[in-house]
Amino acid sequence: MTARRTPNGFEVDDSGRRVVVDPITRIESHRRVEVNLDADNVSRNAVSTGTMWRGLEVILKGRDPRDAWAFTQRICGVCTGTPALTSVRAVEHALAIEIPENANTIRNIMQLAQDFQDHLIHFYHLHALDPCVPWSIEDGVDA
Amino acid sequence: MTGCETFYDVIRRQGISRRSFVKFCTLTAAAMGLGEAHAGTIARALETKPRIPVLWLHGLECTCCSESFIRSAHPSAKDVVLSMISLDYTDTPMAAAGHRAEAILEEIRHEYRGNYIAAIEGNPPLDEDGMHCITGGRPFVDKLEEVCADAKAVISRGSSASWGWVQAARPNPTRATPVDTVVTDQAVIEVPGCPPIAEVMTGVITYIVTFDPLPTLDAQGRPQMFYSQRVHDKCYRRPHFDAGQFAESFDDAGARKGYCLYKVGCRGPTTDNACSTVRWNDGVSSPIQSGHGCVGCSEEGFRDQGPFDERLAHVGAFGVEANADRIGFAAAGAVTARIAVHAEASAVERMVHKPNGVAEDKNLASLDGGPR
Ligand code: SF4
Repeated sequence: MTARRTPNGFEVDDSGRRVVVDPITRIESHRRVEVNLDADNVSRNAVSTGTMWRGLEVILKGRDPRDAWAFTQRICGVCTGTPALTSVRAVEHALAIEIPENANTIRNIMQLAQDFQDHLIHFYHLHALDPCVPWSIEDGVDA
Repeated sequence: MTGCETFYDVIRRQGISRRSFVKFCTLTAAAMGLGEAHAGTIARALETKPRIPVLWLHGLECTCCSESFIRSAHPSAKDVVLSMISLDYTDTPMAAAGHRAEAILEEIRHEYRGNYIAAIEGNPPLDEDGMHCITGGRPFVDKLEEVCADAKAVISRGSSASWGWVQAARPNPTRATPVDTVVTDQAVIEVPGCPPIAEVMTGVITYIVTFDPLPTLDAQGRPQMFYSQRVHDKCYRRPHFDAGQFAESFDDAGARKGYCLYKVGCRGPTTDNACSTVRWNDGVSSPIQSGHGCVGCSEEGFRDQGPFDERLAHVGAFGVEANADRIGFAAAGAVTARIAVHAEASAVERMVHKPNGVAEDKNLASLDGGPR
């Protein structure tokens, strides 16, 4: 068996039956998953890797903090509102800005509306296909 | 694969009536801004032309283009995806993953050489030999070049594909590069926006399926039918702009009265997009309608032109270094003159573009010497 360390500290090896699924679809961004199955078809090692980097953290440096939301929300276009609201809160926290109660209520409503649509999208457009058509990825085998 | 089935065959097989089909054609003609007479042309095309395969690739992106697309109302994404085209590959709402997904790409490329549409969401990073975006075990840029080389048409979906966008904002750590810089031997149809309006994306596809010659493009490679007006031209707050009535902050009396958002940063006067007329989520609302100015998400280089909530200090498109007070004052006094300035600014702006569609310093900041 040959083993290799990934830059983020995981071990990948070629023991047993090695299954690679790349690209993982129905997610935002790009991802690769590797699994090693033993003789009893039990997974003994699994590594999941994000295979895209845009450097939003680097891009945010030195910008006007009022604009941060418009950058962080592009981390993911499926749940856009959540990183946007979170970055607004982070900026307010850093600058010790207190917001009125009504503003907080409006934000909570926005967040809940976001959650609501997100659940529908995730279930019907993204995850539902896994239990419905599991064979669509079943032969993602590599050697 | 459904081979040579037409759109009409497919919807009839799905049990959709002739009557609904005709209604669909009429709505689609209307959505594309064509007269009712064109409904017949659309119907004939959809009855006779084979469904066209579409390969939708994802590079450095956030998937918001796909998210917007699935909300299209006229035509609905369902009609487009399930019937009008054959969306054979997309990283997002596709059942297959891994090798199966990659095999589809190969199959379509070979079986439909020169007869499929490549729709690109996101862009390739060129630094480190493209290592910042790997899909299927190899750099995205390789996949992009291969798939586009054999396509009938390439559509750059969204501002990432069209302009480079958030990942290309200063200092562009991965050297994210617009699609048309990499794909140079094909006409690339730019459909910018972050995300583009759903109906604009489905409209472009419908147009290609129906009329075959690609839609007329403007100097920046964008379909004229959707990008020939500024957000400001048809904005419902425009009477307030012309009357010099501006919100000075997001919580003042002016904001509550629905005054023009120009002084709190609205980029509507320098943004070519259909938001004011088509709007979003089946016409429910638009950013300006919900109380925030337009941030100009479909304009090249917008990411580096913040702060977004501050008025444009220098508005190149107005022809002078006017500020909001002066513009409002002038507007109130001489509406006609303003319209003339506007039209002239448009013409001047078009002239600064190279005819081959490569935009050259379009943006306000660059026109007035500001940072890019
Ligand atoms: S500046 Fe913005 S809010 Fe004001 S009229 Fe123009 S587009 Fe509408």
